[in-house]
Amino acid sequence: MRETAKTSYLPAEAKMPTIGATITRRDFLLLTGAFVGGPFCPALESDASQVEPQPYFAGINRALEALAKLGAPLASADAQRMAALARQANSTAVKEAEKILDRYTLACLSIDADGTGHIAIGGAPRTLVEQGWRMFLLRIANQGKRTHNINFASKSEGPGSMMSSTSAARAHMGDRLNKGPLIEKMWLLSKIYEPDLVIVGDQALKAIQLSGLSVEYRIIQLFSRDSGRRSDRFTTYTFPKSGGYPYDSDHREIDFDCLPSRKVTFAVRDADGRGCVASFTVRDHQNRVYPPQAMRVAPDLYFQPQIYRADGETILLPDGEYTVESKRGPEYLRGLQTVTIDAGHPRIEVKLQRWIDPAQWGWYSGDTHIHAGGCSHYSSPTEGVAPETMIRQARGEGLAIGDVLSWAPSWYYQKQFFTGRAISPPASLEHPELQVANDVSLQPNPTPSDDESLLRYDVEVSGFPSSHAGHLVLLSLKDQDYPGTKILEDWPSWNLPILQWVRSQGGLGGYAHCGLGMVVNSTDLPNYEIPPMDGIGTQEAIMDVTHGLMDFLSGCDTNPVAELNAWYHMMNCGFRMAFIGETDYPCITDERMGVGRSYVRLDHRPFGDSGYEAWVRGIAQGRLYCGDGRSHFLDFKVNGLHSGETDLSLEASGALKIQTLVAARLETDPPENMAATNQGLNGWHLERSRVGTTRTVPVELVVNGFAVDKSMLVADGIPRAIEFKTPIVRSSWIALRIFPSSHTHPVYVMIGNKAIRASKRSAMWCRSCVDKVWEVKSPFIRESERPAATAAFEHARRVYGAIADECEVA
Amino acid sequence: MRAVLAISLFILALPTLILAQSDGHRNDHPREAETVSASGPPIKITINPEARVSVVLSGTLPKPAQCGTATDLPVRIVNQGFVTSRLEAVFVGDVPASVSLEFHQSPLKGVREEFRNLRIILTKPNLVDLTIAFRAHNETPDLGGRDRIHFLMNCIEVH
Repeated sequence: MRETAKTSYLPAEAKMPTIGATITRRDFLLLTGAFVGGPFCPALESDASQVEPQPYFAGINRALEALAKLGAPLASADAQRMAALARQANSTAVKEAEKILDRYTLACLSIDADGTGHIAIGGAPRTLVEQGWRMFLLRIANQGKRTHNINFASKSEGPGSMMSSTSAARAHMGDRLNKGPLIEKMWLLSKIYEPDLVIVGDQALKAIQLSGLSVEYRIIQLFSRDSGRRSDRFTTYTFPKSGGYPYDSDHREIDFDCLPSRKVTFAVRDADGRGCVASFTVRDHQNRVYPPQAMRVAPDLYFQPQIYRADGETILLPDGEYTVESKRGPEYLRGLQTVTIDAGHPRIEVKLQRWIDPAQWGWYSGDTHIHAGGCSHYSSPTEGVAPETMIRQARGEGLAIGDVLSWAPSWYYQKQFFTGRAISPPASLEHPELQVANDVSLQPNPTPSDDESLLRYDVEVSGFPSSHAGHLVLLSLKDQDYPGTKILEDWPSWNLPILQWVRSQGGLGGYAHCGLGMVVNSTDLPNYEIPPMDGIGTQEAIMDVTHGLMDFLSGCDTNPVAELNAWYHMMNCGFRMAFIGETDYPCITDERMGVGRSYVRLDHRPFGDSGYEAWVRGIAQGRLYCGDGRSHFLDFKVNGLHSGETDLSLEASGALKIQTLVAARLETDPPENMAATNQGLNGWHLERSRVGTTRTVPVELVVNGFAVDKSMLVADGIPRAIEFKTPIVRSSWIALRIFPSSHTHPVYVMIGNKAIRASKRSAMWCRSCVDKVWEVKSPFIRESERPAATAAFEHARRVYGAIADECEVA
Repeated sequence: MRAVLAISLFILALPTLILAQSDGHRNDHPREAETVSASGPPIKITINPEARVSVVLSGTLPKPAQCGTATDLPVRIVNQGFVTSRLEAVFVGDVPASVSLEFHQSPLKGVREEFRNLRIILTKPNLVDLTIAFRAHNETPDLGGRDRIHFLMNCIEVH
């Protein structure tokens, strides 16, 4: 590998540098049509006055967003100019936009008054990549403003697009002794992005439904099997308005220069020098992502720009210059380097750097809410992905634990992976035959740190009859099927029976994305507004906890005030439960797993099933803190006692000494785009803790839900000791937080052996919430289960009423 | 006699049933799986168990109304998530000031299927490209942009 720039470690939010595209002689020849006979796309000047700017730019914006999503954005200067032109939105802007878009346009189709299409060559460099996808714009001029269907495709599109002339299921190549010449021609695959479907006879054919605009753009994706100079015939088809099959209305030979791809090896070293798995985002000078997101096969997932590679594993890249971003979760610095790949330099060397290693203090991270199916995962050819892919991502994010939760979408497929034990699958591919078919030739490579990441398959009660009451996360199950059920619809229609069953088998149960349905107008913490209870978060938890069956609330992925408020109120009533970090990957976010994390304190690193059990019992015992991984409470003691140890018992009121060793890391300057970080105020992020434009964040002492003291911490990654002193007059819970980035589990302080009754107002809030949950959710409980549910809710009302009576503090 | 009639009806309906099934298996992409039909509400919203909202155009849009007059687009809501919060509709991107929308403010009932109307008012006859996103109040939007639809609309100027 030859590095053209020294590896740098940049802020996560820093902008990727854009390297200006240079026009080579080859590009010039392609642009000027040396390889094709023309004609080229006509200039728009004559049409521009007929183009209505608003619908024109609205359609283009969608196309450009889709290109970026596919990993093929416009060069940043062009993208910025297009955004400005869209705001300008007049005929002058349309003319200039057309010139810019021409640089990305493969072909221009013009539709005659009779619906016949004609093809001209666009101005995009016709460069493809061997064994890779490239995306282009397709311009459609439709002066007649017709709304019929057309299509545009390459000749050697491949078996998937061929229409059989008979009804027999047979290979489309027909009966030939020598199929070689036919195969040789099938070098190119073309796909229109998000085609429309047209029913012809009993077949659903892919098509472009014309909108009726005089000019519109679509995206065409091209895959090249070969390298070198190749050409293929492209055809525009017209669907008759009267129905029937489309006919060939024009065709044109288009030449391409297909760049050879090279197998490039990642050499990945962890901070301790061992080989490991990490996350890589590889982009070329135009910010195009490799491998293209348009066509990926697990373990590379289409909805992420990054891929996960172990030391010694490979990626296919054409020769050229790339920026490579490397990460391994929030405890590492983001690495960014520019590399040039050619015959003499087929390697990308990465030396990861940590800014913190909580394991040195005995803390091991886990994400208790990740999915291998549903949401962003694909549903075909399998219902999601297999453990081989999930463990690769867990390793690449530096997670010790990943709880893979099966849920309603993909339930009957994913539940096959449940074993009732933690696993750490060896480095392998879930469907090697698909990798071979995709000719990616990825050979999995084990690393010395592979067994430091574990997966545990368990259950999220989502899409089940009781889901209305809040989604349960069930951990450490021995049995994943509720007794007497065969299908999901047989499960209970409220959650308490499920929690009873979980407890009976020694598992843990709690509520996922606990802030959903709990958002109120107030942003105070605590606040006393009654939430609408109209979502799938904490809801029934407030009743369940009075039955002693709720082990945790799970958050860090929704509104932090909504998440913590209910936790604080329930703890003020004397109930004990953990607050744990989750991602709900890839549903609440598909960015990566481990966005929300729990750190559990253990005597040694968790390995195997016993290691997982120790970790999950640590949650139940309260030996944890949670957060976004950007700040860490490495030590937290109240009068020398850690959370998760015994209660701190005092005979009378007095002063407490709270000590912590805490570290946080912000970049020196705030990110340019704070709006993106603050979007919706959902999820936890240390940037939102930053005090103004400084590099400091407040560490707050929380006593019975109120922040009673704070100390400023320089968020430069260096662990610092902080000490608080606070008086205490009654039994209380004490915790620390950097809001909204991390939160410790509390230390319980018992004075005179009295239970915590910290706030009458909290108890009344909980009591009112029980009524609200019943009002909103009870209509969804089956009649047959309603008597038991009625009794359980009535029990909760009595409990909260009694606690309110026992509280000394209003 | 009734049995004979039932069997006859079943035989008559069989090709349709088979075709519907085979269509269902042919396309696995959610966007592609929705073909435009001439009847039924033009907008179909699905709220999944995680309260994520996805929407497709699934029918024919009404003909242009007079400018200043509301066009009601019937919306079918399939609620798999028991969601009882408000379902919101907002324009995405630049939309001329001459275009406005109204959508039900009352919360969803949480039942499996509900029908509502999306009301759009255009006051000028220009053709506009509208992108409309739907989301449940205070819930996370869909990650893949499946929470939005787009279509062209205009209105008829009255002199």
